[in-house]
Amino acid sequence: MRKVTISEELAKFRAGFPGCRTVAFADLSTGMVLASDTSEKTTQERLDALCKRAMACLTNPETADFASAFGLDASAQPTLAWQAEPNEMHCFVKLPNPAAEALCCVASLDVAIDKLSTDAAYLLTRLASEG
Amino acid sequence: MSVQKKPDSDTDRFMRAIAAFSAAPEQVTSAGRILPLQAEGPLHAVLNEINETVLRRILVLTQGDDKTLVLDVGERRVLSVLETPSAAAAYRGAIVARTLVENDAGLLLRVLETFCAEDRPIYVSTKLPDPASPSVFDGVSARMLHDQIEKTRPADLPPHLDSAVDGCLAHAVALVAAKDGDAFLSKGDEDACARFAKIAFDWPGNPKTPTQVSLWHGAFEEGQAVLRIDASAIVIFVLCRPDGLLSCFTLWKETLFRDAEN
Repeated sequence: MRKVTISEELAKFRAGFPGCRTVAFADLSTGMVLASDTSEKTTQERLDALCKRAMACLTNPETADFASAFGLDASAQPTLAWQAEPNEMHCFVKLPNPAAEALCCVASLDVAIDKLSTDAAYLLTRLASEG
Repeated sequence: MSVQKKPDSDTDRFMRAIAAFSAAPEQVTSAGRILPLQAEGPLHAVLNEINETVLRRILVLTQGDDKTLVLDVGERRVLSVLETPSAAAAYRGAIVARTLVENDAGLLLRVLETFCAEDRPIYVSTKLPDPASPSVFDGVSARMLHDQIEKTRPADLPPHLDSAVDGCLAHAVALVAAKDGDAFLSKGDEDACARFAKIAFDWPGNPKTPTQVSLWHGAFEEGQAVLRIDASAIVIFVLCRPDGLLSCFTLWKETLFRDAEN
């Protein structure tokens, strides 16, 4: 039986969320997008920018500052981040440290953010465990 | 010789005197009784109605065909909110169908202000409540609501952010609003507020940062989440309870980007 590729998994995931325009599987330690699925043709530069944004959101010093301010080790990093802007929303889901894999989603403001996050975390865990 | 007055004349005179004292007839329609206008505006008309409701009643307040606010009132106190208008949907989860307590005065006032935002006639009809009666010591009194109005609002917080702050507090452990690194509004847990104030000082943010709402989860104790709102050169930090992070995020998203979503 043919093994389902990561791109196919991402496409299946995105199909479950009509408001989701882009989903990318990335390695935040290197800043590389490993696979992606988008509703419209996009450029590598845009995917790289999305990955960079995920790195800034999940691993920047300010979030480490949040953690240390609340009594946690400064290396504690969030595993989920949502960012809403006037026209779209970003959802970043990352595996706990030391893993560096993350799923980055771009969606409309009305997407079911809670379900998107939960399903993304489940998919990410599966993709990472399958190597 | 004194003139003996007829009993009927006395009665007529007495009735005329009583009639002179009686209130002007209230306007009643199928939607109920129209609330007497107050010089201070419709909000005070509603507060006045609450203050005059001593026996427990369900007050159904309507404005036009589309706005209904249903309150369970007794002893001049709002015991619970049973229904909010769609304009106050953001507060629904935090306030509807539970017994109110004194700390809910700010949130209840926001709901009332949202309902009374338009300067249109408000009608009220009453229903008898269910037999089960909450303690008269519960609820938010008309006096508490007046006191809440009197509280000074932070001058630096625009009204739409101010409303969202109150709505958000039901789901938050702490909230701090800062401008140029200076925390000018702190609510909730003092320790968490102090930590946020320090972060706000260390990370004052860039006035050019676009309006955005960010939430981080997974690095904090007890499943809490940190919300950061950048709007109008103001940075707001919220420490959300685990069960309130989605509500908090959605509230701010809708507050800032409602037009974009419609």
